[in-house]
Amino acid sequence: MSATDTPAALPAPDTARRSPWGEVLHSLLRSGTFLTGLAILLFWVVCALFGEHFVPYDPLDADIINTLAPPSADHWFGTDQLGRDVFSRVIVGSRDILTVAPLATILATIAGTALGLVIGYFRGIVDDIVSRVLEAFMAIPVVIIALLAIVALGTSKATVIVVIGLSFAPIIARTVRSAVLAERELDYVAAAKLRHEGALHTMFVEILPNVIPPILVETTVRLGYAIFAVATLSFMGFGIQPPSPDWGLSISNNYGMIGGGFWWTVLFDAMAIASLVIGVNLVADGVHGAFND
Amino acid sequence: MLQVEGLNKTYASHGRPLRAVKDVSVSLRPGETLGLVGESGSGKTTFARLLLGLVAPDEGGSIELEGKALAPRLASRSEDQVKAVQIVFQNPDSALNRSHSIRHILSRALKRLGGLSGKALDARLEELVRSVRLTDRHLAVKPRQLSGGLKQRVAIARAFAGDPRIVVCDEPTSALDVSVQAAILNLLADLQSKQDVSYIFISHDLGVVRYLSDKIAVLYLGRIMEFGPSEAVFSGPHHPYTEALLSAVPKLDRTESSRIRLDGEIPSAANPPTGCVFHTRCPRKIGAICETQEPELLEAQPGHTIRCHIPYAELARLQKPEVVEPA
Amino acid sequence: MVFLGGQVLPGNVGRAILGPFADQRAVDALNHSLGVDRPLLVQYGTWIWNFLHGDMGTSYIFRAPVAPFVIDALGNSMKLALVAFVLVVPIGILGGVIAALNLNRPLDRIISLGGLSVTVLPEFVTGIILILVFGVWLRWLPIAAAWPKGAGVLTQLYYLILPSLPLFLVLFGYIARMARSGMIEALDSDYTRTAVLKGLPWRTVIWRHVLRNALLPTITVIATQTGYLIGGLVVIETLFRYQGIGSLIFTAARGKDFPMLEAGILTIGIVYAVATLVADFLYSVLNPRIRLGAEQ
Repeated sequence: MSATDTPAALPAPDTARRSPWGEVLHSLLRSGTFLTGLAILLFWVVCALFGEHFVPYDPLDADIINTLAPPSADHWFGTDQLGRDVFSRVIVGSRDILTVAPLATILATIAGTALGLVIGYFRGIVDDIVSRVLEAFMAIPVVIIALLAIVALGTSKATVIVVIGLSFAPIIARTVRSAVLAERELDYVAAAKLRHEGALHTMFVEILPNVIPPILVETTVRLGYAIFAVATLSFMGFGIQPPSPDWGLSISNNYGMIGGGFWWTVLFDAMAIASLVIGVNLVADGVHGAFND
Repeated sequence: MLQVEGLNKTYASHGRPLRAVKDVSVSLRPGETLGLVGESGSGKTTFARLLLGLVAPDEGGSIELEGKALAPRLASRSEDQVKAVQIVFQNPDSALNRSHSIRHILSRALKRLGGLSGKALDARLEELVRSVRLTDRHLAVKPRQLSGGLKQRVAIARAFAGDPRIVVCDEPTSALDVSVQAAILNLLADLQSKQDVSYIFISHDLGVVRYLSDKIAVLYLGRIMEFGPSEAVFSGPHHPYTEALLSAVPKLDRTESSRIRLDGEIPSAANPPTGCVFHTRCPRKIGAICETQEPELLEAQPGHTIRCHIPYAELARLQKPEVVEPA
Repeated sequence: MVFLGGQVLPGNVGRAILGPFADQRAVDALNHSLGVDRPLLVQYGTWIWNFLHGDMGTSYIFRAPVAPFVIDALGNSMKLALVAFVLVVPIGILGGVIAALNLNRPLDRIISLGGLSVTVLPEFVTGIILILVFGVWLRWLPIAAAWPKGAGVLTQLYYLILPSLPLFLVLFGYIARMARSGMIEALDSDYTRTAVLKGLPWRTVIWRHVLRNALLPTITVIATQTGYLIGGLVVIETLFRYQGIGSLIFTAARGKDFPMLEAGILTIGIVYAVATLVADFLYSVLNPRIRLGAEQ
């Protein structure tokens, strides 16, 4: 080749090559784990959004002459101690947990990503201090943190979202931090400095797009834990409040009577939580696999 | 135009000082190319980073560009100074943000370094793309859709976005296929002839450096061992280290036996040898003085300096048979 | 930190105890006798000092010293945790080892996937299902962990099996997974290959070389899961109406009984620290590459 080689001599861009995101989507759509999880998750999302229109009874309607009825053709899952239809309650009971848990996860992701970017990018003493504090924070079980915070702040959906969101933020921050530590050594970051870019631009425009994959994986995993935490807090009486037909809350109201054999008042709620948690974890597993192939 | 005086950089390595760059002074005129040669670990990349302001040097030394001092830290340099010194990194995969399109990468550089926007930016973008012999269709894609050579052209275009005075080329061809290396070197030479830019060309390969450089500095463990005009460094007499590096450049008519082998690895800069830092591997070591006393960088001929205890005339005599080409 | 957590909780303590209709003077008097009207730092100093001397303060609700409650509850929780651990550690490790030895075969799939599934479920969900199956339908096990007064060890054990199972299930997945990956790594290592090539019987190789190395990561997990276990205890003890430290904290939090809450949380903090130390110690004893003291 000589100094006068023409543009035509240069190879064209390889536009046929699938983008990394295309690769991920492709392997997700072939992952049985992911698709199964997604189907379960979508089922509950549909129930949460439209459940109240197709359930046979109003989930809050008491029927005092028909309490604690076992499953029958009229009441597929039986009725609870106030005569409310358990089937309708289980279907509609997905709504609150599927609002609170994702919002908490989004809060955790936003806060954790911002924090992780800052401590990973600036490192130094800020990183040392914040990392130590986060470590100590993570050693405390979420249930305990939530218990204290909710006693302090009072119980409301917003409190639950904030408490779970902020307890999960350090975990996401840790993931983001380690990804950022690797990215900041790459030359494109040096190139940004050589353009006098501000720290915000470098963090959010240059580095952030490259650390999205680990954030996405961590977020789906966290969603599973958020559902776990919301359900547990509701069961403990610190989460979603009556009269919501929430699953954890229903179990907490009814499990005292299972010694009397009224199994239908808790079993279906328990199965609903189990299916949702497993569904989200299957999705998370699939996403993790797709990004790490 | 560029005057570097007594530049030092010391890192702390496990509590011990590590002198990555020691007392380096070089100068460069507009349109000139300074070749920086040495094995990995010789401090050439650190020197480049000091010059760019990515790493702050130790107190004491100075960098002057067009008569004005360059602040040690990039953040305290003026906009003009920042755009005046740019770099083409060794590895375009690391240098180009994989999430951004080529258009984004180059437009951002033109905006920040060229101060352009709107129509003017688009016009200059087209010109810039053409100057590195890419076309419009290369703009819409992401770096990973381009071959290594094309990516390096993008990186070169980015370095030239703000009409730099100096471009550091940090082994710009070593990550590329042999087949495209020559094209990239030609492109760099071409751009220099049109734009009167100075290069600091870093390489471990003297053959590549010879092709482009007006001056050459040979580095070993952060110290300049030899510095001078390209012809002088190549024709000799040379520093024994340069001599060894030169003998490693393949030549058609040279027999394998005339190649000088350097034993072992380059010593650690955290624990450099006493005396002359090269004495542990020097094929022409003359005795105890090499182990105890570090030689000065002495002017052998006007503009040509060598750091060796062996007097210049003696070096010339010793290296005579080497220089004579076998018939 | 725990103390501060308790103090920043809003709500006037005296008001909380006496109710909204009590006379303000009575509230003030109670606050004074409880010492909650003194400056925070003074309260904190006194609290730590007393705690270290075994005086954990006085419960707002029971109007009695906290210490006996906490010690009693801690003992009960230890029993429960012990039963869970004694069951899960060997079974979890065994599960992981079996999975690793049958890598990618159906048995491995079942153990790995099953372990993962039960691990992600909230304890009260598995608890409820277990209660239904073993307590309500099969009637094999009692559904509340409240044994008759003066029951012997075996009877207590009988009552503790069901509550310990949800903890078992959550931990099983973690331990089996760590044991499995530790085992796979050990099986794949040079020293195993060397041992096999030396002509040692397969069984000896597994016992002497592989298992020991597979155990190391498992111990780490056990240590890190102590924190989780404490959270799990709060839920399980509530579900099974068991008088442990978890339900003590839960009741104290509901009743805003701060001395009780603080003492409970500080106690589990200490338990957590001790568990971590013990795990570190075990790790260094078992790991041939790290000697105690050589770590520093």
